[in-house]
Amino acid sequence: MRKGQLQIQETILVVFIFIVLIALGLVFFYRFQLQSIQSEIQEYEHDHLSTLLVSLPESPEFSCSFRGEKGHCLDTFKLLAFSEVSGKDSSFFQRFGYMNISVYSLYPSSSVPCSSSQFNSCGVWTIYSRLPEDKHLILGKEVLDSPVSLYFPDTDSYGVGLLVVEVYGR
Amino acid sequence: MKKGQIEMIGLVLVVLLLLVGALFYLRFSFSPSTSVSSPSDLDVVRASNLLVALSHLSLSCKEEREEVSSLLVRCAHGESFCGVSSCSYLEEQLDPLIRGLGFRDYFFWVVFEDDTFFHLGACSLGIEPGTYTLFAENERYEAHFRICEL
Repeated sequence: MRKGQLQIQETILVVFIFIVLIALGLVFFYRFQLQSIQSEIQEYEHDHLSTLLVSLPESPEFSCSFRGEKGHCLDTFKLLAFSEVSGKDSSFFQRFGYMNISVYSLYPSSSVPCSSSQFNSCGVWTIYSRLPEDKHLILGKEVLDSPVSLYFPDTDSYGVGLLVVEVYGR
Repeated sequence: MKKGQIEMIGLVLVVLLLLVGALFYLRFSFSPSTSVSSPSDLDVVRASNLLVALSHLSLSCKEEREEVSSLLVRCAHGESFCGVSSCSYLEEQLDPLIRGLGFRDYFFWVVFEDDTFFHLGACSLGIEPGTYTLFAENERYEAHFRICEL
């Protein structure tokens, strides 16, 4: 082999290694960016969920009130009324998206689901529930909960419940 | 230095660069994804909500029904409820409820005139979301809650 041919082969080898290095750098950069975007999405969803957990019990649709003055509790009759409406009205989907919002009564404890026909001695209110039609599209689920004060207007008494918000990532 | 030696050094440099690149790639491709957000802000909200919920809670015993805030006043004055001391009754009812809500290691205490007359759990280092003030019969009670471990 002549000296010129050897030099050409050497140049080709150097260029090839250089291209491999650039390709590796690009792949590494892409993966790093993807990871960073995914963690930002997670952080945003967590913040959104935390905000929802704070704002939901304060919203007039659920909070108890006495002579027009808002109290720091959830009215169980309002929860029932909202759960009846939320499944029919599509505007709630724009507000909540794909998620599950439930309230579980812990004191008094009961695992009976509440409905318009069963509103006494029940303890589970599914306020809003919307899952993606294709369950294969669900990439992840984040669940947050918080204790809440429950007001029972029929007995004029208070209980303790757990507000659970589940968000489905797509 | 001869031309061959210079080329050898160049080759070693290229191999080293490749190795460093591969190491970085492996380091980041196998690192577990971690959540960036700290849950402490939410814990404060949860503990604060718990204080409000507990103070409103109505406890029933046979025909009697009292809110926790009223029972705390009874406890401070050494009165009984449901045939037992109000403090014991509160302890019996509240501790399983608080633990059931996921607060495993906590400290709940109520102060009246600088005296801690009622407490549940015991832990010294944790998050305190603030105090909840109760006014009953012109008396001021302060309920505190501390979360040490969830």
